[in-house]
Amino acid sequence: MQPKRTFHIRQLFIFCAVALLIVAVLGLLNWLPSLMQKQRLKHFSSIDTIKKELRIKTVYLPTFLPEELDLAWPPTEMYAQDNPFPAVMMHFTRKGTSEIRLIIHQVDSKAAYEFKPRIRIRERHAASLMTLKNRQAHLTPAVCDNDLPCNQLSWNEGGTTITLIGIFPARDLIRIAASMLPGD
Amino acid sequence: MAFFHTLTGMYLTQSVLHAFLGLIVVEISFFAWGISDHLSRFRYRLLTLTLPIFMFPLYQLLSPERSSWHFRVSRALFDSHQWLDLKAFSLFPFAGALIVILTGFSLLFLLQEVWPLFQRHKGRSSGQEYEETHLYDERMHTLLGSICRPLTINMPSYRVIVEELPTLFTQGFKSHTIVISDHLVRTLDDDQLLAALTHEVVHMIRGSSLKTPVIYLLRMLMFYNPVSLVEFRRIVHDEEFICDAITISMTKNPTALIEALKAFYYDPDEEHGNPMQMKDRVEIHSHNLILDERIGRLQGAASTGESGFRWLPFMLTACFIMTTGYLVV
Repeated sequence: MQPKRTFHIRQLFIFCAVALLIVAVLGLLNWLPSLMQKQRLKHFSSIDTIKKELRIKTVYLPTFLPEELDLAWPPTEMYAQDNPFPAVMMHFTRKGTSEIRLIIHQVDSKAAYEFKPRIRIRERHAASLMTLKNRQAHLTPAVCDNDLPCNQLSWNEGGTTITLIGIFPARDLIRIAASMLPGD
Repeated sequence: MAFFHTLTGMYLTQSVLHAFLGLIVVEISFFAWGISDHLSRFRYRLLTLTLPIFMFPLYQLLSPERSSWHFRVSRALFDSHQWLDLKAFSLFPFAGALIVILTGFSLLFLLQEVWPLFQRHKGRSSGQEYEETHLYDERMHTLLGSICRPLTINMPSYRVIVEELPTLFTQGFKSHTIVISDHLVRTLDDDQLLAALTHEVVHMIRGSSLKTPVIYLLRMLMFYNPVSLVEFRRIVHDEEFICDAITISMTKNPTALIEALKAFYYDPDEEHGNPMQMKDRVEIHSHNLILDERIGRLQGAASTGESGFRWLPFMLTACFIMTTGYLVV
């Protein structure tokens, strides 16, 4: 009985070892494209690194976050890419939590596909056109996950589509968006 | 390419990736768990054929977040988009290569599997039926009776058709009919014919005539998938190996079955009529190779590993495919 049990344990050990090897090979295969083509979508730890590593000239950042929203600064998560098209995605959470309350996407207007925002919009209401520092912007009131009221604001900024989704009133979202743009 | 970012595109890519993953894990399981018996191999290979069909929709149902770019970047073990968005020499997208491969295998499926079915159906509807002979009824009745009586099963009906090629198969799902060519009945002696018919009865008992179309249906759903093409054939071969093994355990006469199998060899040079095309030669060669393998097994190539199906290794293998597959997007 004992040798059979040892035999089965040995088989289990071989299986686990090979399973680990498969995981390692998959990890390696996932890493190879980043060697072949730099500037692909990845996580960045700071805005400076994005500017340094990628060819994106301007990263649109809010210079004002309403205090009452209690949003953490700098953004909790930053993802960016140059290839196959320029894109920057930022997530802002409420201080001390992992709840995402604001997302900012800046994506090339000619992008072949879209990056679905991490704040999921479940129901959109009629969008209204508004002026944001001499730019035409679309403001869409919506209902996001967990039935939370939210708003989306988007406009085109010299060939880049900027989209903000915030789980807070439209007034605050407009103020944040305005702070991202130069001029009065 | 934008197509591979849609749900359909993701399903196509991931079903192929998951099938490859399944294939590798299953082959490694054979080695790790020392699996050499065909019944176990048959069941493991079914994992490779079936799981990729359901994995993507199941994962989507359980976690819609899995198809997002965020999951790909932050949690995935392997992200196919990283490769598909690449361009060789900044010109040829890898996604294009995948489309070419998938289209190629779809065309192969059409030409190799759908077209012959269509032709056969056309042949039948235009009345190209085989002529039947009753010259061998007594012999067939005696042999089939001697197989079915000890097994206490109803004797299947049979049809002996006038055909100069070695033909033997079972028709029907509920009530079965064994179809055999008169050439075979004439060529094989009693022991050999008994072995060949026992093999068909085993197919009947195992429900192969129902099982094989179901497996074929699964393969059809993955018509574009190169792994499914290979695995389907291996599963069908495994079924033959299983039936061979059961036949021998019943007849206790491997030599008779070996001799019966030898009657199924095709000689490409002996074909009548038009000169044979390369495709037919390849098919005949692969048919003969399978017979070689079956005969080799029967000639005492004893299994080297453990025989008998064990659930624990099977479940571990399936779980590993499912969990790793979740992280392969």
